[in-house]
Amino acid sequence: MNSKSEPQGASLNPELDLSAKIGSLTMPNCVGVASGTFGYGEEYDDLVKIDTLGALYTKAVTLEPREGNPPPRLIETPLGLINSIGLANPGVERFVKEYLPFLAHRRCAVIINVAGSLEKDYVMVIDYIEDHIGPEKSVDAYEINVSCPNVHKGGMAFGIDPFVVEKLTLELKKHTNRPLILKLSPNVTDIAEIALAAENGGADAISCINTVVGMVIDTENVRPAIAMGTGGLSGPAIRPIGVAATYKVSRAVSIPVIGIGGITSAQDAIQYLLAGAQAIQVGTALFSNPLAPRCILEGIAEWMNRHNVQRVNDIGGMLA
Amino acid sequence: MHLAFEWPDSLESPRAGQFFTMMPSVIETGAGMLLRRPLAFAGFEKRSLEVSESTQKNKSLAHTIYQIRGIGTKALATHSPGSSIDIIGPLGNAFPEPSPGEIAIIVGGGIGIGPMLFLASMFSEHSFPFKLIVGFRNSSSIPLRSAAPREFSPFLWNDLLKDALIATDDGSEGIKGTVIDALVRVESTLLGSNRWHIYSCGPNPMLAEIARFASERGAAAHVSAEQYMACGVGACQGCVIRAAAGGYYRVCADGPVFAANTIDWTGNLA
Repeated sequence: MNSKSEPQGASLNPELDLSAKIGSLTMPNCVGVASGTFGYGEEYDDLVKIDTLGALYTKAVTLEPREGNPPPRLIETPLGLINSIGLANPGVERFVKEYLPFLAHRRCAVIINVAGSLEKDYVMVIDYIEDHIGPEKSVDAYEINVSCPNVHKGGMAFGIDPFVVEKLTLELKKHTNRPLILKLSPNVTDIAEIALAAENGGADAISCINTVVGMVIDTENVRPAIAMGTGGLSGPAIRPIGVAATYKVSRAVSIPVIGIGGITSAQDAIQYLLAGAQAIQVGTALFSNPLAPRCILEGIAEWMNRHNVQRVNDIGGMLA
Repeated sequence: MHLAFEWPDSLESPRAGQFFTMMPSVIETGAGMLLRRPLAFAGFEKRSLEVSESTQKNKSLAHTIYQIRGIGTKALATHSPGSSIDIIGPLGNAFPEPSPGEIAIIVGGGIGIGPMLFLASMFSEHSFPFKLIVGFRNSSSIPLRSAAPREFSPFLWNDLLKDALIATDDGSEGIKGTVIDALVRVESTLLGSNRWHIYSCGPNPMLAEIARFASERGAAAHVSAEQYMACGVGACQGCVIRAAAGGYYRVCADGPVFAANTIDWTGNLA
């Protein structure tokens, strides 16, 4: 209902350290909302207390406005969702003017997801934001999307080549002092190799994973179920892929890993934390339950109490 | 199928055109359902403060009608009376009122008659002049008659349907043909000196025909569009419909009600 109701009870044990550190940034807790599933925050304002989130990763921002792909853009699959939105967004100029003010002075970390077709697009988006944000806290980090499967040029094309990822990261580091998180695609032969390239380029963290390329065909109408044919699969269907990628990447790099993919419950989140993630993102689960992030955080705290662990940061070391 | 549920008075009352999303509490094991399902309000009964607590009218009730199509609606239908479902709403915008001098022509197709019956009941309460036209495949696909138990026949639904002009594809009830055929049939008798304001909900191809019919006659028209949804609140950009001015509208947050001439119907028939 349209009220800012949050689950009561299960109050968080103040002795637990639920925070997550990404470079110079400390997120108040380890549960964030994934890019593309939470808009620019305002859309969920009636339903979710944004300040209780650990981090808000915005819908991707590109240099120019993008209208996105033709509909249908969505199809549900068994415990999954395929989307092909096509990075629809108002462009960086309107984003800064119309959407960013809502995100200023937030208790949660505000992380701008940046996408582009060419290296200079990413550079120009970051330059524009750096030039136009005031001294007040409104942007805590950037998440660099080199993994969108739904745009013809760029996006994933960046994310499949370690050399390109390293070069892009190196270049972007020159344009901001804020932490850079590289969001990687699972649609590669070896995601650890790409993660290592990002680390070599100076990335502060890895978001792992973006959606998995998938397709549904409508057998009665004899055509793909979404207009673009293929799209990005998310939801519990991809969780084991995300956990495995997190496990591999966190062993290949020394920077923090942020686990994403099908997290619906605290148990799902803890799998990622045990696999080596320092923080997690909730995405598709928001569509069925907008209060999922809070429930997941409380469940993580409850699990930590039961397993006698004080810091989220220590969970990764517990895996047998 | 018909569903009535208690509506907390602390919330904004739903209006015709608005919708809610629901997550059934009972889902078949292995069904793999992930997303909430959007359903349009088909009626709303505000709690009457004058009546005593002992009468049945001491709670506000929201209504919807739906067809069992997939796992979500199938699961919804298994809920027993008195059980709980998870609802978010009211979402989206509502149909505007007619301007003075306009007669409302309310056109529903198939299960799209839900919000049209709601609108007709609101216009009836406000004494706005209107004519209801409903179209179905055949007489047996007319909902409510079989679905609604007698204790749940609010809002003059039955009276509204009794006075409605019915069109069926096979002619098994009312006139044989589409709602457009019905519109043409009544055009000469209904037009009079009133300007038409057409309100419609139904499959998108029907709405495209409504838009064409209205534009040819210079009539105002508002339609409630349909699209596959994920978040329902405007965040995911999934449920878009092509705009006549270029770009897309989000059906959930920019609509679902649109002026018919603002939609590029050629791009939305899939």
